[in-house]
Amino acid sequence: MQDSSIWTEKFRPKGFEEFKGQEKIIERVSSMVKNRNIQNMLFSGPPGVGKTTLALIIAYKLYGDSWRQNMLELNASDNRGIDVVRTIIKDFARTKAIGTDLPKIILLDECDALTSEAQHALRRTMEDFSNTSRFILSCNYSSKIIEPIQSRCAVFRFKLLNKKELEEIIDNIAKKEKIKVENDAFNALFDVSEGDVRKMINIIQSCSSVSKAITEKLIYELVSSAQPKEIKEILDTSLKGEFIKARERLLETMLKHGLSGLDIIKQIQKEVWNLKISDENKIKLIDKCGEIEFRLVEGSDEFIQLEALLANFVGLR
Amino acid sequence: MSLFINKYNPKKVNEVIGHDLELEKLANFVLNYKKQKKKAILIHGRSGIGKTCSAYALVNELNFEILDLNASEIRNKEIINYVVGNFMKQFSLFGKEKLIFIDELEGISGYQDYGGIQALQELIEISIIPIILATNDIGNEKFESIKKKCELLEFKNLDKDILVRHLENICKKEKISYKKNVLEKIAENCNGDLRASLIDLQLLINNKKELVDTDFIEKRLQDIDSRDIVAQLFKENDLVNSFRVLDNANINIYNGPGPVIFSDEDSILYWIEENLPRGVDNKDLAKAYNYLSKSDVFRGRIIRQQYWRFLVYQKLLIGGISTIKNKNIDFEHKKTRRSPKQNFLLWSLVSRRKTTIAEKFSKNLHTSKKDFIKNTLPNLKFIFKQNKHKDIAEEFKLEKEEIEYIKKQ
Repeated sequence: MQDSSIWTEKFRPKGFEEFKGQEKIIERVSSMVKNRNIQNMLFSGPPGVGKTTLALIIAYKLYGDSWRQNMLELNASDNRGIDVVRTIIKDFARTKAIGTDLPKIILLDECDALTSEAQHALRRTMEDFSNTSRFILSCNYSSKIIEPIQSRCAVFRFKLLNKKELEEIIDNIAKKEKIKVENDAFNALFDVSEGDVRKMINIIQSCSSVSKAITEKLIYELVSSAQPKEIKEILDTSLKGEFIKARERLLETMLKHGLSGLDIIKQIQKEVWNLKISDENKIKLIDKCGEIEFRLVEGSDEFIQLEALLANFVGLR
Repeated sequence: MSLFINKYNPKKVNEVIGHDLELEKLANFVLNYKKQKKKAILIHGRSGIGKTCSAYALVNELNFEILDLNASEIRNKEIINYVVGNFMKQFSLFGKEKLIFIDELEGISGYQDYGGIQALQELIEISIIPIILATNDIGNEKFESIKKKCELLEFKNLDKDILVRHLENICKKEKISYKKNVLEKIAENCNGDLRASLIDLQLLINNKKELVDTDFIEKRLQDIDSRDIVAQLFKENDLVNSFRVLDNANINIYNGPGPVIFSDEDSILYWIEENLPRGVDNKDLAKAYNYLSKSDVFRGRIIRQQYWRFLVYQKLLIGGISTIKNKNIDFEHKKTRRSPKQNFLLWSLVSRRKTTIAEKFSKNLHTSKKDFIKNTLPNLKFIFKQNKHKDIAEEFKLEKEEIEYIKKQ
């Protein structure tokens, strides 16, 4: 396989030996692959701990070069409806694998996003096509997967990587990319990535484009400027009572970044906690966020609804 | 007895009241049609001031043959093409020159006259005979595309003095005794609408030979500018009165709901939205917007469910603004600067670009579009800003605009 220019892809482990963390899971899965007898599996765990990577490794190991033909990769958060299960998945599952006796693999990523109808539609599919296909489902919270599906799968719970494992990953990247990660930068990386390896590698790559020496300062600078500040400024402007200015800024931001009303409300709701206002007012505003989010769905004009929300911030300080 | 509006309908150009300048331009357009850059002329102005009768007076005088397509007939694509096609092909009986007159342009219905606007647009492009179009709603976006292809000619409002003089002349011809102040009242009440003033005059004369006072004449309401309605609404402190004001308002509900917005920006809703923070104190702003927001919820429900009874609530809730005391009434009312439709286009352009970028990446990165936009895209911007994006751009086949977009994040 060709190396990608995106590091999360370039440094994605290609074999079980390279895989960091999740030892127990690797042990079980690699023996399954060795015996060429794999089950339907459910990988659950926080983002960036290797769920998708492990599924890909299984495919490489089983099919070698023809892994692409024999694996269907679907991301449920992009295709979440029932017709995906009924059409794309069934069509793929129906036929036999190419160049091997093994069943094909269907990787359904971010399964928590599947509607429960779609999950139910999956039940029979998993059984009916067990001759030709195996499913690997991944999710952040296994509680969002209906029980009948869970009972058809071997469940593997992935854990956050510990510092030592993360350090090994960083060292490996630093060596290959010829960059220098300062001592204090390690802690900063653990801190901002919260154990999410993909996030961490993304940050390392963007830092390295600025400087070959990665420092704590650089990391924090980059991370904070990656976060959109506009919403905070809009809220501050409203608190100051400059409503007209705030709403102009809001419109500008939505247009510039192509954000929907829902995107904006989500950010406002997060930002409320950081405002310098009383707890009583915070909870009042959260209540308003909920109400306006509801009206946004029911109403005709998202901007009017967002303005109505902003108006609640005016004069609170 | 004949109606004044028929009896005094001008047959010749010099009988038309108060539009000398406009008629000169119109005649010039028709007579020098071959030299015109634009192949049609669109006359506009409020109703009853003489647009249609000017066109007819001119056509009569020039002795043209006229094809009149007005809102009383179906004007969809097939019919326009068929009728106009026939009219052009037929050899005029008396060798007269021909002219097409499309009256009441705003009355072309999007549904029943499906394709009508498009057909007219094509007609204007290929026509070899003069086309006159008329409307009293020049701001209507429905025929924006036609407007661009037309010479525009505004028929000015008739002022009161002209109306009074005309009414006087008629009274004299009809041998009716009158008081001038009564005629003035009629003229004032009709606000420049000549046709309406003739109807009112005849109504008051009531077959007698004298003109009584105007006490029982109904006030003629005209389409009130949204601006005035908003101004009145802010002034109003009484709920019932504010409903009355709103009854005259154009609260448009068409087009679908969507992310930023898109409806007629002249709709009263947007006028209020724009001016609310100017008219209401900060401390009452949340309360005022709450009414607007709830009203919008009903608007959304009407659009989705086509349950038009909700219109009542949509209107009544806006009226709630009158319950706010201490409003600031002395400010300049501004038109919404959101320009809803345009903004929507801009918005969807940007958000579509974001999605296509996400599509290019997410498949090869084994991640969802959502996750890419949330986590990877903000980091990519640094690499792109440092101009170290060459490999990435090649690998993911990014277009130039997409690269620019990522840099600007």
